[in-house]
Amino acid sequence: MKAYIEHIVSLDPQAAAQTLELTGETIPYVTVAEPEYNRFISPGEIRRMSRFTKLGLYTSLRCLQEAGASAVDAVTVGTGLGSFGCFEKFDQSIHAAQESGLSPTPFIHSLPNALAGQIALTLKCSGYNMTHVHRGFAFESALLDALMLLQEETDLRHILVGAVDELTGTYVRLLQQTGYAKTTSTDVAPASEGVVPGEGATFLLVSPQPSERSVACIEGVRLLFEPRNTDEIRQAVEELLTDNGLSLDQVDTVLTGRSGDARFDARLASLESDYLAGKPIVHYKTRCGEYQTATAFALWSALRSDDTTPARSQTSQRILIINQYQDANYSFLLVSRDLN
Amino acid sequence: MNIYVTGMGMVSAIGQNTAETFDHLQAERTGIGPIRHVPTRLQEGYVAGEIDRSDEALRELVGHTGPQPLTRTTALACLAVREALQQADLTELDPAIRTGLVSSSTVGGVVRTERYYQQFLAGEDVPDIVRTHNESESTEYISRWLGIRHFVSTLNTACASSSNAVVLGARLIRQGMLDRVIVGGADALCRFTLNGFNSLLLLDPELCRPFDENRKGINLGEGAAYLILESERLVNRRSARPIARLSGFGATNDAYHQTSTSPEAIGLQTAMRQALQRSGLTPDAIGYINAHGTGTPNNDATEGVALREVFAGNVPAFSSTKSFTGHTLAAAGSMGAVLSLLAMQKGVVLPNLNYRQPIADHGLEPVTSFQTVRPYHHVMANSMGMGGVCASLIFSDN
Repeated sequence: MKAYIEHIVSLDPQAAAQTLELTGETIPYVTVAEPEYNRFISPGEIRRMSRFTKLGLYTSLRCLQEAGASAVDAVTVGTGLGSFGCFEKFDQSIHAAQESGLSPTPFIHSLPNALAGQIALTLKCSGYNMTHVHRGFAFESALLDALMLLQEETDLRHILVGAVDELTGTYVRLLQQTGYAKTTSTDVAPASEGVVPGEGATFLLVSPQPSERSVACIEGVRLLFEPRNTDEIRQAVEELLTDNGLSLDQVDTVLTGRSGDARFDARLASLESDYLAGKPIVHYKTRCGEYQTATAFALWSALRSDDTTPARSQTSQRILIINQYQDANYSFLLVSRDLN
Repeated sequence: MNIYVTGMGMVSAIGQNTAETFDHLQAERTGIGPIRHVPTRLQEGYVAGEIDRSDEALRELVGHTGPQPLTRTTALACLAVREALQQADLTELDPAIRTGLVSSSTVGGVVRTERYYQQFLAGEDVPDIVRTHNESESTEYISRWLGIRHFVSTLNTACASSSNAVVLGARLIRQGMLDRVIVGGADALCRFTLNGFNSLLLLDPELCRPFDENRKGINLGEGAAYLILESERLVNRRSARPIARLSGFGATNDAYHQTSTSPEAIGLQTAMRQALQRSGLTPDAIGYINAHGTGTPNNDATEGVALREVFAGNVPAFSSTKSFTGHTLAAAGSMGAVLSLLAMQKGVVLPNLNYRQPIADHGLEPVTSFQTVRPYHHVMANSMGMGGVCASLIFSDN
């Protein structure tokens, strides 16, 4: 099941982690730079839409414009959290106004599929339109959904696939209070408890055939829920490679989703030091932080042409991304820059 | 590759299982009534299809030892999945058979978050709501319970969610990625959605009247419905007795408005046509349609127009069973599938309660009483959701 990435856009995470100042505590977290929404979205819509929808709509429309495409046949979106901002806003208004005379806007935009719906509306795309919301599988299953669709319906030419998750100040606080976020260190390497929360918006345009614009070929996607041991993770990687008639030797770079939380990283750490020993390894969450759809950022960072990461070189043709979310959602994505 | 339904399960305000559900339908007894278990001011003046059991009682009904379902959504999902497995004669899932779970929810863990969120803001210590504040907590609970690891996913396409779960599950089997997949959805009634639909001015404070000229809006409901889909090869190998075959499906977007349908529900028309085309059936083969029929002015007018267009003026027997269960949001699509399968199995058509007068825009009259009819072989279930999502499913008894 192969497909070609015509173009991919992701919003740049801020270079340095932001911090949320609380009573005596500093919580590091990573946000994306707020894009110039007005390049693609009207002032009225900018006012009305949630930040979640705006981030996604902006990224999807920019992806299409840069790819020189104006229409798509289907849209699949992944989000692990949806718009927490709108949940907050509507829940607050329920409380403040005692359940009467509420504005429906935050309720409408609290629905994760408000984004895919908005894209369909903007592009007048009446085709398949799906929103995947499974935590650390959301982007991967949206991508798999698109790959399947291209196999099933041979007249489809372009599918927009995206991933968006946003952070809010209160969500960061909630993560910290429940023990999911680090309180001091911003570094992934010295593993401790908690992650540096992040956010991101990534969209890619996939098509069934390579073109002169294509940047990569997606060779395969696999999901694994709650592996019982590291061996099962290794097995999943091997199956993915075997499916494509490949061995690990033919993989140039591996990107792994180490989150910096020792409770969740142990299996990937042991995979890196054993099965993946000697491979160039990139830990992308040091740049984007931890969030449900971080694999989409990893894909973008692996393919961007101006990346100066030492592990990436001219010879990095085949890339394997292994992501984990809270040691429960493991995913495997194999991508090649060789389009033949 | 044929895909069969080998089991189904449903829990809602009209019963804890499909047998109880059928009794309620036959007796034409609605499950919609006062709201007792959701802490909301809307208990006054509104009705809903609430399951009259506390979270605790539902958890007991699930009867799991070990980790308990943390949310009402999850407890409901467990009950429906358990019945579906029983019907499919699956007490244990064979790990050698590639099994997946595609579930859906719109409320998910919000039903739990809303209990604690204000306390959290006030600086009080609250339980871990991060873990449950998503739509996939119930999916993961069930996967863990049943040992499903090959493919686990959750969709949220608003009120078409679980129809889309059926579609995605079927495609995973057709692609040869899975041999068996549990598909469906679950949603618990909560303050957030009650207030959401109320803020949209879409709630009818009285009993809802789908497809009636003077309809005022929705009654929300809660529940879960799941189907077991299996490949033809697996069905043959284990000599399973299928309930029906999923013969067609369609999934589209209306691309007209975030919260309302285009005047002729073009998206739904296309979904129904896709489903008919895939099934190789002509419109006159459909014996009964379980319509989306939410009871809102916009939905029932446009959905009727779409039915009239696709069925060229010769619309089969149809009804909205939301007059029994309330609108169960993400669970509505798979619930419609279970109800239409029950109807086809028993050779009946299901009533649409509280209907009096046809809608001027299309003049269609739904089925108004429980009726035994000449056996039919193909049944359709439709759903539409916010964000323009439309889905149509066709099941056949051969």
